[in-house]
Amino acid sequence: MMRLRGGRPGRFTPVAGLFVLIGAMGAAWLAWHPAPLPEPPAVTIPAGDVAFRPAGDFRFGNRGVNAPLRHEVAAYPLRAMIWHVTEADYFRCVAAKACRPADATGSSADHPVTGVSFLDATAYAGWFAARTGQDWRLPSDRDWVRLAAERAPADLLIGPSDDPSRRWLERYRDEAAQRGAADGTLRQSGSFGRNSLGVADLGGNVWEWTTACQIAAKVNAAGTVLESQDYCGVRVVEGRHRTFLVDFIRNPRSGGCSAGLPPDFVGFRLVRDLAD
Amino acid sequence: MLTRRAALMGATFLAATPFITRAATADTTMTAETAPRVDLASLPRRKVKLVAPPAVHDHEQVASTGPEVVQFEMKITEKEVEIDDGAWLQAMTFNGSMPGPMMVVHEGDYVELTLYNRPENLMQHNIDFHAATGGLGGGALTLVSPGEKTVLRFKATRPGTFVYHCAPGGPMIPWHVVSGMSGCIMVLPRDGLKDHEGKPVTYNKIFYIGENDIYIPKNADGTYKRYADAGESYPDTLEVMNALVPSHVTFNGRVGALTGDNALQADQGDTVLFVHSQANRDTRPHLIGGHGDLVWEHGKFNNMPQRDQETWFIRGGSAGAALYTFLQPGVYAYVNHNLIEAVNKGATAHVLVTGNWDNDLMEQVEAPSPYDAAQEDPSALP
Repeated sequence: MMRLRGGRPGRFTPVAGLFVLIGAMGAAWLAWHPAPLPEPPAVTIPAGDVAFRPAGDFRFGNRGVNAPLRHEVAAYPLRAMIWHVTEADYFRCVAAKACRPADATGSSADHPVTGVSFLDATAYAGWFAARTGQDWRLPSDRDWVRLAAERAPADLLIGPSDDPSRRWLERYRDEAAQRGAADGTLRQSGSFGRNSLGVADLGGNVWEWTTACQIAAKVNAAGTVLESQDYCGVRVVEGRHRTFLVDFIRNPRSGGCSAGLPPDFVGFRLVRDLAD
Repeated sequence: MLTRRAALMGATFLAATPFITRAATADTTMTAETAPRVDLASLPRRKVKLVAPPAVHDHEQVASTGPEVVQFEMKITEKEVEIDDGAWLQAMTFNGSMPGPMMVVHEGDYVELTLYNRPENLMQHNIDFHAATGGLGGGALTLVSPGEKTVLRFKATRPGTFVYHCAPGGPMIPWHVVSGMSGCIMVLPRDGLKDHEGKPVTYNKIFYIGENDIYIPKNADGTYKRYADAGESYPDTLEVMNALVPSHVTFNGRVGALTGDNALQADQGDTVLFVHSQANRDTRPHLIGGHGDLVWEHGKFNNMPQRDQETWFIRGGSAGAALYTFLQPGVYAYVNHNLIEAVNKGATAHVLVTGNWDNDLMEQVEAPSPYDAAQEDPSALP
C-alpha cells in the first residue's frame, strides 16, 4: 500500500504549478484513454455447418443417454486467438486493475496464463474487448468445437449395456484413456503445435474455459430434447477430455476427485464473431 | 555449484559428511557376534522375490509346511521422484518404491533379509521391523553405508501387519521415513485368518496401500522447490516437517498413483484384503460405497476383528488390515477420510469393480429432475 507522506510546504511557483497540472491531466487522460490494443494473432474459421454434442446429463426416462448430436449452422465466421492468453497478456489486465492476479505457477511471460478461474477469464475478456474495441469473448462449447476442429476430443458415448455400473466403468476407463497421463510442466505457447486451422496448443496440458453450462435435459425416444435447464455454477472445460469445473476454481489439479479425472491446468483463449 | 553428491563422491569426502557422522552415532549400532549361534540348518529355506506395491508377492494364506527361513532382498535406492505434477522429492526408498514392498510370512517363520545400500547412494540406512523383537527392531544391527550390505534374521513371533522403516539415528529418523523409507510385513497365522467367530476366512485379492505424508518446501511464488540432492533439501524440508503440515499425502508414492489407468481392479464377489500402512502419521481409511466387513484396525491377528466398519483408524507407525467382499459393481474410492488429505493432498485410490448391478442394494428411483418448489417444499410426506 502506498502511503502519502505529509511533506513540509516547499517553494511552489504558479508557473511550475501549471505545468504540473497539465502534466497530471495528460497522464490521467492517457490512463483513461490508452491507445487501443491491436488485434491479437488470430485465425478465421469460416461460417457454416457445425456438429457437436452439448455437455451435460441427458435422460430418457430414468436412463442416462447420449447428448443428441446437434447440427447447427454458424451464421458468422469466427475469429479465434491462435495462442492461449499468456501470462504477459493477463498481467496487463492485472496492471490495469481490471483482473485479479493469477495464482502463481512459476511460469514465465510467454507461457499460457493458468491459475485463473472462469470469473477471471470473463473479466479478462471484458477488459480485452474494451481495449481492442472488438467483441472478444470466451468461446461457447460450440465455438470451441469449431476452433479445435480435428483436435476436439471424440465424444464419449454411453454404451448399450443396461447395467449402470458397466456404463459407469466404461466411462471411467474411456475418460482415463482420453485424458492420458498427467503433465505438470507448463510450456511456452506454441509447444503443442497447431491444428489444421492454425490454432495452437490444443491437446496440450492446458485445458480451456468455455461459457457452456451443464445441461440437465429430458429427451424422448427419438433423442429430441423435451425439457432442458442449465446449471451455470459449473462451466465446461475443454481440452484432451471434456469436463466441468466450478466457476471460481483456479487450480483443477488435486489428489483425486472421488471419481472423475481433473485437467492438468486451465487457461483460456478468446474468440469473436465476424459479424458484418 | 558444488553439490553434496559431488562433494561426497570427490576427495572432500570426510569434510563434507555432516549427516553421515551424525547418523553414525553409537545409539543405533551394536554387535551381537558373541551370543551363541542358533542352528537353523534343519529348517527349509525359501527365497521370495519382492514385488512393487500395490501388488504383493504370491503367498499361501494357510501354511502348508512348518516354519521356514524365508529369504528376501531389498536394495535401498535414493532417487528424485515426482510425487505430484511439479513437486519433486529427493526420495529414499526400499527397493525403489514408496512404500517399500510388502513381505508375507507365517507366524514362526524366520525372516532373513539381505539389505543392500547401493554404492551411488549418499547416506547410511538401516531397517527397523516393528514385527521383530529386540535390537531396535533390527535397526541396531543393520546400519549400512553406501556400497555395503547386511543380512538380518528375525523370528516372526506375532501375527499381524507391521510397519518397517529406516531409523538411522537422531533427526535422520523422521527425515528418512518421510522421504519414503517405510513398508509393511504381514505375518499370517499359520492356519490363516479367522473371523469374529473363529471361523477361517480367506481373501482372493490383496491390495497393499502405503500412505506417505510428504513435506516439500515451496518457493516464494508458491511453486515447489527442487533440489540437487537429498542433503541440499534437508534444511528447508526440516522446517516444513517441523510445522507438521504435509504438502502431500500419497498412496503408493505419487498423487494419482492408484487412479485412472492405474486404478485397482476387482470383480463383484471378490473378497479383498486391504492392508494399509502409515509409518509416521495417523490416518483413517474409508471405502466410499463400501465397508470393512472384518477389520483388524491395529493389524494384529490374535485380536478379534471388528465388523461392519465405516472408517478405521491406522495409528501413525502401524499397519492395519480390512477384509471386504465387493457386493456391487462400479467405481469405488478408497480414501483417507480426512477429506482434505484425500482430495487436496492426494490420499485417494480408485477401485473399479466389474459385475452386475444389484437394484436391491441400490436403485436410482428418480433421476435428478426439476421440482416445483411451491408444491413440494413443505414436504412430500404426510
